[in-house]
Amino acid sequence: MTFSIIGGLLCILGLILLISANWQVIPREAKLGGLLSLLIASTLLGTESSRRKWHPAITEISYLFATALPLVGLTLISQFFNLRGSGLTLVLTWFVSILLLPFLSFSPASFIVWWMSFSALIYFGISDYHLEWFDNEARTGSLIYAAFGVTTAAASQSWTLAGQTIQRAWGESLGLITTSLALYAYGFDIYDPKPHMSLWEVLWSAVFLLNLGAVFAGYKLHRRHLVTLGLAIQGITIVSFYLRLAGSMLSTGMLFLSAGTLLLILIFALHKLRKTILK
Amino acid sequence: MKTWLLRIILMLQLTGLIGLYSYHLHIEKTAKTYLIKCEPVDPRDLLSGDYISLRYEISTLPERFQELDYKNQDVYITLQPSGPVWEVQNVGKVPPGGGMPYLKGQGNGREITYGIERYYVPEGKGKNVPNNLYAQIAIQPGGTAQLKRLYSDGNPWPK
Repeated sequence: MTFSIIGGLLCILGLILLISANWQVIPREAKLGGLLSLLIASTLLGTESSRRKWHPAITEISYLFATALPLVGLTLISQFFNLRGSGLTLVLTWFVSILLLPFLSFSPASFIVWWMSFSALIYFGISDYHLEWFDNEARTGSLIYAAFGVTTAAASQSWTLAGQTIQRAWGESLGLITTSLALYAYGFDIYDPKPHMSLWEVLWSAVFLLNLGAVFAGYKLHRRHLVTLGLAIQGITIVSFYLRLAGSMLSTGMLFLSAGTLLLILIFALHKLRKTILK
Repeated sequence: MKTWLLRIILMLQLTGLIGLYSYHLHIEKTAKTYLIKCEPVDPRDLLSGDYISLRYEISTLPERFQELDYKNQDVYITLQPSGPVWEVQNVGKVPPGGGMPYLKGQGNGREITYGIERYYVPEGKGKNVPNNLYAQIAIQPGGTAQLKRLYSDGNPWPK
């Protein structure tokens, strides 16, 4: 299934690259017609495959195309007419056009692409409107994404009502990764002239604790992905702490050697811990 | 029920894309067009491919006008012919009357953007761009511009 989705994603990327080559020997109508045919075929194939219980990979690839192709269509039309709208308008139009798709199709692939479009919408909203609620755009973005991650994980629980545990797992994982990354990256704007008292220590500790909570929740609720992901992010946080604290004190050779050793120990220890927890 | 809803969404998506295409095609085919002098630079867009980034003669307010006292707000530029090309006659905050063609842009100091600063070209054709470029633009009734074609030495470019 995973390989099928990766294969489908590669096909979509290939299609985007073919379109970006802008072959003018092919008439516009033929290009648009081809794309619309593909959109119709993918949606119909997805619904039929789902109804007739064909192999899930066929359903997922079809819905993956059905969710991504409206964006390809919009960029194709902007290429035809040299339109230069804002990124926000482009992604917003795409997002609206696929708004209900994952909830009607119950396709995990569709849900992931939908979530990515939502995430991109937030990014363009912050950058187009130059939101600076917290010092600057970068920090504002970090905090909004941190909240977005928590909301994603929390809202994903409602997939349980529809009996869709794969989407719930993806929502939890994407939410955990987003919040951890956002907190981790907050304060990376090193050009900010305001001195702040070791803010990173507090935030990285929060990332560690958040993932500790995820491991615990994964253990209690029997959700393997939370245990695996939580331990992996904790490992990254520990190595990051070490590099940041010891980085300026050791020579480059010693730093690499000690960080590598720490990483190997961590991988071994976390792997053992994961097996124990999931037993 | 679910399948029907999915088909309705598909129909809406198709209608939206075809409608968008038809709308811009209609403007391109029916709106009156104007030539404006411009000069190029050449970046690339990940999704839509190579494009020429254009800077128009009318992108900068002529010296005789005062700098605009607001940022990223709509301005209306009235055009007047100067030989085969069109240039700035007047600038204002409201659409001008009198039947002269005008463009709606976003003003920022002396700089004005019109949303027609990109021209998509086939892959690799954006490397040797001539300097004497003229843009043929179509103008919608509200003053919104749509870039139709580029010309160099009287011939369409790229060939």
